[in-house]
Amino acid sequence: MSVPDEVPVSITEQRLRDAFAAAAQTVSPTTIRLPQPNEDSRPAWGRRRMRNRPRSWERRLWLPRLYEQVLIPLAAAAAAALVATALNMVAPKVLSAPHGSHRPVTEQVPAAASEVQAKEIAAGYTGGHLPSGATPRYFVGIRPLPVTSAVLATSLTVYSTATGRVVGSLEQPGQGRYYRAVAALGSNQTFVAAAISAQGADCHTWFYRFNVGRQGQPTRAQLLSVPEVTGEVIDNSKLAVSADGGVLAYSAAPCSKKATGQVGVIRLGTRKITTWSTVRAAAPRNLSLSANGTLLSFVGSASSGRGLQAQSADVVWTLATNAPSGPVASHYHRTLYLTEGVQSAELSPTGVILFAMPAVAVRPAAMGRATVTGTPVASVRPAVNAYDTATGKLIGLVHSVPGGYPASLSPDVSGEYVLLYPLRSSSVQELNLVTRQLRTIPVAAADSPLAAAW
Amino acid sequence: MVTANNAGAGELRAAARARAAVNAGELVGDLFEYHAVRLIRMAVLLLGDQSSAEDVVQDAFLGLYRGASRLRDPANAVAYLRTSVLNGCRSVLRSRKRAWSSLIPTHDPPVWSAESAAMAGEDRREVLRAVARLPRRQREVLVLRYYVNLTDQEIAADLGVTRGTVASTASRALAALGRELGELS
Repeated sequence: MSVPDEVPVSITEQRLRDAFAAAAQTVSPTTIRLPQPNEDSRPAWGRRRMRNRPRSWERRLWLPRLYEQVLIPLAAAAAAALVATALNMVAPKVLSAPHGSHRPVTEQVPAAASEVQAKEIAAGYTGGHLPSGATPRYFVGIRPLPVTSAVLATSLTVYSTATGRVVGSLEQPGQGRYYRAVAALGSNQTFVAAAISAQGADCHTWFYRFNVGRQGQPTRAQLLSVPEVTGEVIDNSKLAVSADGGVLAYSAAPCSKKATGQVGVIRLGTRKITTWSTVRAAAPRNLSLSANGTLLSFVGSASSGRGLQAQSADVVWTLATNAPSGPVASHYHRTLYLTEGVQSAELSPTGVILFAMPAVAVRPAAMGRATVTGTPVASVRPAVNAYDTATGKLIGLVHSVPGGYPASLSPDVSGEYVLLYPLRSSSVQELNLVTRQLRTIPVAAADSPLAAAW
Repeated sequence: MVTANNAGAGELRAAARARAAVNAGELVGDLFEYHAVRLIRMAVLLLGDQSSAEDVVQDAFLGLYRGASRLRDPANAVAYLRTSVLNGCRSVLRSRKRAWSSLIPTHDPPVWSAESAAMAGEDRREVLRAVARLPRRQREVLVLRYYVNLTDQEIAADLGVTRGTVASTASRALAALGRELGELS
């Protein structure tokens, strides 16, 4: 008789996960004793590590019991005596020698570890989360529901990543609200959703938290106890949560033309909120946080020229989340500018790399400037590129997106997988940033989400 | 003419081999960069100490490099590495059981031991000590399920057992842990 593998999460399981995570965190890229960089020309995985202790197989020498019990202790005692004698004779001379006269000591340089750490960081492995090594089992999408009595409604739907099938859905938040955005909250099992008033009666955004169980069934959403947010988070690209689950960022559009948009950050541990006002009523989009929530990136317009010569292209801005409240323009930095504009962008978990999709633009020869963004063009395929966040320079192509449609990106908490949900087609795709493999998740057209997150 | 053709074919084969070697090196290099840390963490949970875990993981990568040409699908490389690490851990644990090894300390104290200050929290140490006392197969299933977050199907593939075996092993392990830790699961 087989035992079902889906059992309710017990205290034992919770303690187990916690203990495993704690033990795993004792290993970080900096504590791994990798070979010295110039030790030889072989790659790191092929080099013999220079350690104080020999490798395990070198220790696996056959020694008769007598030798172990008698000769080894004797040899150890003799060696200790020899070392003590040598120290007595040599140490005073070394200590009394003038500075610089003794041979320099070669220390274990942590350069290799740092290098690996930098690469790990760039790839998004922060060491603070449960590394999965596998695609998240489920993702959550927002589906529009049939409009009844002029009330807008959406459904938060859980999909199986493997099959694309709907495995669960979440009830409406009630009180005349409906969900507009969703993001993973520190793990692939916990999510936060933003809801606004369906009738537009109340210009606020409320945040809800819910879990997705091992079978994909979502739990009842709980209202997050955070300060009230003025303005509306109107789509999925205007909500982001740091991978450590500590910081939530949002971009809220105002409900009147006179007001300005607002970018805000809520520290979920302390419930402290910091807001920055935007220049116009429009709210920045494609918010993305570094894993520890210290760096926020978003896509917003930047105008150049005046009058008829004025051109506007979306660029990527970054903002330190510890910046004081005030006009966002006083604190942000332009990180990525592309002549064709930026379609979407996501920071790698440590913010070292920016994954971005240039906008696909049609450039009629007569006009000589970009006019239509987002139109599929056979000869220009949207691509996910990697850029250096510090310099804005292109590092390389991660993948071109088949179908010719621009898409939004949603990375998982490990930063290894990215979910692409094209804006004009029903397909949802997963992109492995490590292997660069792209897979279409077979979501039925009737179930296709407006936006998705995992 | 024949000689020239043969020489050309030989050069092509040599070039193909060189390309394959470069590709294998790149593949393993990339995998090392992106997966070494997580595999070492997994091995630490099974072995207790980082030094042994690093040895096992490095050997797994070397094994992958040597057998890269036989790897039909590079997408399976991570699963291959995981299985190699599991096998390596079993080998290390077997070697520790040998009588003479108790006389020569061959590994650092486990991270959950009282001697190690690497991990905070007595509660966590207690859980991991209880896990360490479980049979080897049960430990592996728990680590793969609750740390690596694999599905039972994936665990079954890694361990070469059926999904039902994985489920029942996990169930027994959790029950044993619950008893050991004085909990009702």
